[in-house]
Amino acid sequence: MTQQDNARRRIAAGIGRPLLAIALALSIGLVIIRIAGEDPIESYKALIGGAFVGRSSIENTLVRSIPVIASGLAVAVAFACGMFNMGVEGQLYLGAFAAVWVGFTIKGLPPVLHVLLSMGLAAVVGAAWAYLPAVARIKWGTSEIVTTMMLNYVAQYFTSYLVSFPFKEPGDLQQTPAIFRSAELYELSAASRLHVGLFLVVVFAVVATFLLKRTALGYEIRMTGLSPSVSRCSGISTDRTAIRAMLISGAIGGLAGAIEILGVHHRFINNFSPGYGWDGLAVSLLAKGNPLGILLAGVFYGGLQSGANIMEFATDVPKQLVDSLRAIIILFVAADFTGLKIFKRKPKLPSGSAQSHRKEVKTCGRSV
Amino acid sequence: MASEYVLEMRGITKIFGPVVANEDVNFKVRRGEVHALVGENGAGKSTLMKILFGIYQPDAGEICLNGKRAVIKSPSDAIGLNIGMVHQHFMLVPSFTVAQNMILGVEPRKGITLDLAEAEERIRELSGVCGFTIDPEARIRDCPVGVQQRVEIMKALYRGADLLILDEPTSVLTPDEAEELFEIMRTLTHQGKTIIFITHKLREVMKTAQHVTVLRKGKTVTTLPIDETCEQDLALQMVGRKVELYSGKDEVKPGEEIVKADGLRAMDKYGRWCLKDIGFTVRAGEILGIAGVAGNGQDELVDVFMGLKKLSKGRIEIDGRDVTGKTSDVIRSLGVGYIPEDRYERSMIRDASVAENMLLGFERDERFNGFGLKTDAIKKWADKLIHEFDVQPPLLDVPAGSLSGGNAQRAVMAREFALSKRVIIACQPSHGLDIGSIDFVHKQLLDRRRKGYAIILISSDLEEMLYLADTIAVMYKGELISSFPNRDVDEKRMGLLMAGVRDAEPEEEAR
Ligand SMILES: Nc1ncnc2c1ncn2[C@@H]1O[C@H](COP(=O)(O)OP(=O)(O)OP(=O)(O)O)[C@@H](O)[C@H]1O
Ligand SMILES: [Mg+2]
Repeated sequence: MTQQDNARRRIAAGIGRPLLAIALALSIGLVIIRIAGEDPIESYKALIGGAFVGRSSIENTLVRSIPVIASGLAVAVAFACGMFNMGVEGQLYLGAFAAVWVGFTIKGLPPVLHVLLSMGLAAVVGAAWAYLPAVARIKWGTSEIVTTMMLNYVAQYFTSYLVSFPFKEPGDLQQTPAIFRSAELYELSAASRLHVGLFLVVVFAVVATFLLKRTALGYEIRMTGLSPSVSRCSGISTDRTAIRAMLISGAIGGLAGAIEILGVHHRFINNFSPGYGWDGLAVSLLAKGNPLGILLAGVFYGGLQSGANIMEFATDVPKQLVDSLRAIIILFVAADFTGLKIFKRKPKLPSGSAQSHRKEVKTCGRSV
Repeated sequence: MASEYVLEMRGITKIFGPVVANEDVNFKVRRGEVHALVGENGAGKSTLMKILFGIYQPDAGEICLNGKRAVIKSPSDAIGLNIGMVHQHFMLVPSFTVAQNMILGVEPRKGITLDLAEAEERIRELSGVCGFTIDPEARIRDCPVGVQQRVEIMKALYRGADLLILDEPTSVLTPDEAEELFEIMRTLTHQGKTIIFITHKLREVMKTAQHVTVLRKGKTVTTLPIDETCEQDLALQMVGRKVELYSGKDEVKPGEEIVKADGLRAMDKYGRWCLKDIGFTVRAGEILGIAGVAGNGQDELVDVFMGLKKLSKGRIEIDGRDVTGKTSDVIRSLGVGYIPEDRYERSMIRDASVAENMLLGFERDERFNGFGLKTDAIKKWADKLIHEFDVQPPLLDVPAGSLSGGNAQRAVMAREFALSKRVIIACQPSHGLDIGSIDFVHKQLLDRRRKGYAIILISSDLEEMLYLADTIAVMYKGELISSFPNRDVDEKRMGLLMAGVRDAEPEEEAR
């Protein structure tokens, strides 16, 4: 009973914090709207109504939240291992392009198989993109925070090039030809373009939970994240584990792009992502890396976004207000976050190399 | 009214979830005395002291300092009330000098710059007062543990401590260093400072303290003047029943060679040779003791052995397999049990649950890993382990960081004994354990010896070494300067060897 109490308290704390952050942000928004001379109550009514009231609002929200949730899961898996994958945006672009390429070049495949093939290539490409910074971190101690972030630009510009020149559909727009019907994700609602990707991300969240909590690899990932030095001394190959975590993370990042593009756009459009990867990072922070929490936080984020459009129509409050709100939420959540050891952690995982051992010795030596 | 007591803690109760760490504890300390605080692992000693130092808040009870009620909400409150604490894990910055460490947080200033000269001056002054000297410019990482501890003590004094808490200070010291510490404690009390001294070694209590308070399972059992008690009596009070110590040791005929090390050379983090041509063998059923003053390469030897550090040269063989240059995962998978000295950096993840900690190194074992981890099997197994080794409290879901020092050590040992197949490396296995537990650990090690394990024991406790080891090798400045069967040793010769004086007389070669 006491243990259940403990668990309950932990869960309450896990939910309480983010909720508090959200409440605080909303109250600050209230003040801002007031100062801007608008009616805060009306604005929030429009915002929330536009996000969660009525079928079409809910559907729009869900469409928006699908890529965000997938990106959030990508961040969470790396994060569990103590690695920062800031490169989900780039993995998402490359994954999306890979999926589309399979979608419009290969003809005559049965639908399910075509989708699987597209998503498979997207996962491989995303994983490969995450592999580079992971190896650089292990081999030379290069901060993966910086490298993953830089690689985003490379990925984004590279796909820009691809869609502007070699794979450009004739016409004015920077986009590829449309994918075959067989590669499209099944559409659940024509009006909102809600697609089965929604179920896919739920499945991803469940699989991610299972992976982290119930598999040996997930255990190694979590232990490495909690204490690299103890994990290594206990015989977990921390280097290999970190690389695997990044590979999985990158693969999910690639899938996030594939799902969005196969489900909604059906072709690669230059710069199609309004920052899903970054939203994923935010959502993952908000949910503290808990996959099921990411589902909730992702829907919340999607809601803010789709509600913002409605609010802008209905009142004079610009939708950029919502961007500020999101930033404030993250600020509050992150304020708590800095207390976690992840920020105090040395920027390099210990590894078998003699060089990295230097850093290890200080912590791994006698208890002095 | 100036009370005769500097400190009175009354009715202190502290509850952590399901665990009652302190229950209605009364603790009174007279001015200028050394007051020993003893009790079994998990009795609540550290908790009580952490409450006094403002790290924890009590759930009930009050604290009076010099007869006045004191509210201590944080360590800085405690320092303000002239209380100082030396934790079991030192809190020094290795790359800083002694002086820099000393002033950390209370920097003397000259204008906007640091006044290091002033700090060094005060350190010299304090050195005089305490009766020991420390070079203020030495870097902490170059100081032996004993010196680091003095730095910690001086750090507390620098902040104006009159009441000094020492939580298991001797467990990291060699017997000589411990003697020196006692000398320092005497000097300090003569100057009117009061010292609370936590230890598991009752001999030290009898030697240094004027009063002793015994805690058992979170409650005060008694407080006695030292001349009204004796070691046996204290042991009885602590445990609540009679403990039998030091059972005999069987003759075991050593079998085949299991561990072979040859010509090991390695460099330390600063590029100096820390292992110079080390070779030894350990046979089945043999305990090889590696003695020596800490910092003579023992840590590096273990690291090299466990695949945590690269060898420059040499060869290691385990059970006929060449494992030179293999990483820790390979070596662990061969069934090498490793009981490290520094728990929270090497063997226990504070933020993971006890059950999760018991799985470290086993997560790929097919008993626990099929299609996904077998949660029930893991729970059952972890439960069995912690019961076997009597880890208190026997809960699987609490974070390992909440275990008391000794109980964390038992948990590690339970796991490592279960993991090991033929080889165990034990570094200071009885650090921080109470007498009963030490006995238990010794029995376990001897039991494995009987079963034909090759055991490497690294210990600064001479008594433990002489009791357990079959062969003793002495390590000095990265070399094994001598190795001989246990029966050939006398303490004097060992002391000389540990100080680097090589024997003139011929003896068995080190390899
Ligand atoms: N932060 C905490 N959270 C939960 N339980 C705790 C915490 N700190 C201590 N405990 C529990 O309180 C009890 C007393 O612990 P404490 O560390 O005071 O023991 P101790 O007497 O210092 O033992 P040892 O000699 O092994 O160091 C133990 O059962 C321990 O598990
Ligand atoms: Mg303790």
